[in-house]
Amino acid sequence: MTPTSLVKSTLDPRLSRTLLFVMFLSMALALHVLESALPPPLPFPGVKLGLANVMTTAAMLVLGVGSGVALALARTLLGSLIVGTFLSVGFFLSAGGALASALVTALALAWCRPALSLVGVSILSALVHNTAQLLLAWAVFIQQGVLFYYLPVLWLLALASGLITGLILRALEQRGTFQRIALDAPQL
Amino acid sequence: MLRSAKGFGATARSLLQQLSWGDWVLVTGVLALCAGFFPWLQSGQSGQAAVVYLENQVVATLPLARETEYAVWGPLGRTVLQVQGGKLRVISDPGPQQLCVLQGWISRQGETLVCLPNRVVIQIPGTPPYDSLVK
Amino acid sequence: MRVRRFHKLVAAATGGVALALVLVAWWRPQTLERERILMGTFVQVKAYGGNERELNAAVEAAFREMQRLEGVLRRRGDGELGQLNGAPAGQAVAVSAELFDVLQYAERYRLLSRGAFDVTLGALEDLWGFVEDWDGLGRVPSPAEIDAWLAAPRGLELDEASKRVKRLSDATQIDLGGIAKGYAVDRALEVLRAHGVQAALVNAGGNVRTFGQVPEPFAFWIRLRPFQVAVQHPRQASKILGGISLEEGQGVATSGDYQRYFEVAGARYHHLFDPRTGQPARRLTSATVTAPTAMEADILSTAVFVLGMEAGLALAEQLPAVEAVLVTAEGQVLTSSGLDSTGFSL
Repeated sequence: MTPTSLVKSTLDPRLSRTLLFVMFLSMALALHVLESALPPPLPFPGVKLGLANVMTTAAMLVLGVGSGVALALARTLLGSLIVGTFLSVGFFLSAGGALASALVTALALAWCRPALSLVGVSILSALVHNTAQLLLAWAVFIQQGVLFYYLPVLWLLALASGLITGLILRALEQRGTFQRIALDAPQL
Repeated sequence: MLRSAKGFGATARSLLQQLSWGDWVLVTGVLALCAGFFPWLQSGQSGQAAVVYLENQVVATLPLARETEYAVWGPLGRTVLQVQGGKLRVISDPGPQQLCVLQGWISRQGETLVCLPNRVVIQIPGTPPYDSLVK
Repeated sequence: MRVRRFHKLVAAATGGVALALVLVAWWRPQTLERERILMGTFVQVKAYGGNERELNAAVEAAFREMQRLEGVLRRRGDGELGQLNGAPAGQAVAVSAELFDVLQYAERYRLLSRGAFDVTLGALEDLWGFVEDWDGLGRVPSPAEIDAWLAAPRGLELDEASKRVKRLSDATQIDLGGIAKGYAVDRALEVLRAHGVQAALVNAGGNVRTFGQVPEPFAFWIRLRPFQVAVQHPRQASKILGGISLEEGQGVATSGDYQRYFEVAGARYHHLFDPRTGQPARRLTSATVTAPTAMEADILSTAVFVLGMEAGLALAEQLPAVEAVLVTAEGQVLTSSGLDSTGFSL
């Protein structure tokens, strides 16, 4: 249960923004660490499923696009420190995926609404995340076309995870959760 | 808790009707692309030989019919491959995550094993490595 | 949510594009692969393009052409060559332009290879037991028989104007074994091309030539790639000596001591004779040659095999667009200088 009235009336907006940011960040980090424990969709170090991106999207909805990108950066950095892959090659793969996904999500939220609902935005964000990781793996590691054999599997995975996270986000949106906790968020 | 779960279920069912047209375009597009890709991958035929690459250069072609063990010397050490019963797997690899070992056996055309840290890639070509044999 | 007509249009367009994409991706060019025993060997034909009926007709026509050539170029019997071989020596026999051209070509290479390639070895082959319908057995002729054969004069006289061929002696028996398969491959490809086939490969007992490129599915569309031919290792049948990526119209052929041979008292006797000694050529175990046509590759693979390491390589270097891979009796692999550029990889 979100302490909406409490936050609105008693706290400085900047402090409440920071609190919300930290809340999203800690959830994103938890997801990041969870993802690191799951089997990688590609046989390369650092490749992740992209679950933590849902927090990036949610942060964008509540705190704005800039905060969302900042969240993506923060969770990748801190997440790699926690898991122990900071500055390794896998780190760049994971960071690349998260960043590309955040940028495209920002663009989609700004331009593609209402053509795309939150479900579509989530799916798109997951697709970009996976594809960016594959492209990075291709460019950095193995320059062989064989790698692209993985694309359909990656996309179907992205479709599934994006659909699930998107439906959750959409449900929250419908019940007004984001409006309630968004304070200075720009009109989306 | 239960009340919010039931409410969530009702919301979920009506959600699919709430998807925008753009969502459907996106989903259709992705599914079509995936469907378009599949014939390329699922030739489904069992491979005849596996091609071993080190640093993107071909170092060996191993016929899957012949049982053998083969070692590739990469920058980190020895990656050992095993061919048995028409299939191939990586027995040992010096990489830290052992991803290519964990992937297990490959035997069909298009399948690949990637031992990234040691720069070894083993691929069963989608088509036989040659069109005709001169005897 | 109101679904405006525009949105329905876009959705329909997307669906249409998606369907088109899937159809394009799942369409496959027609390919046909047939094999047959012809000319005493295994013949493989691969054809690509067109529709199934056309491909069928083309491949059948190619096989018919090869069958016709088998009749014409047989050493004995009532085929053209058989009659030429049976005619009295010294008589100028009129032959078809086709047979004349083949014999003229052979004669040119006999001179070029300084006698290493010779199509008049029929009588010698009989001595060793390599008869036309060879059953796998042979005999080692006595030195006297070999000397007698070596001493007997042999030769052909070709009259361009009248297309007449004269066998200079009874010992001159024409056997086109070292050239017929290559010529048949060239002719078969011509037939396939005339039938509108887009790409094809013909392999007749180790003589291969192609035209066009193989259409290969790649992601959503078709990619064309050159034909890839593998050369068998002369001593280890399951191993490959190397692979070659054939250029447009390039032919490749291998002559080896493992193709036709018999063993007597532990010694191997094969069918590639050195005309100057009357014995099987011993210097190499296999010679693989690439050349602009299959016929030329067939001839040169025999010539290089007989010539051996130095002279064989020299011949390959001397001729433009001809490259060779030789395997010596000790297992050493030698290649001519231009081989890397032809796409051969060991």
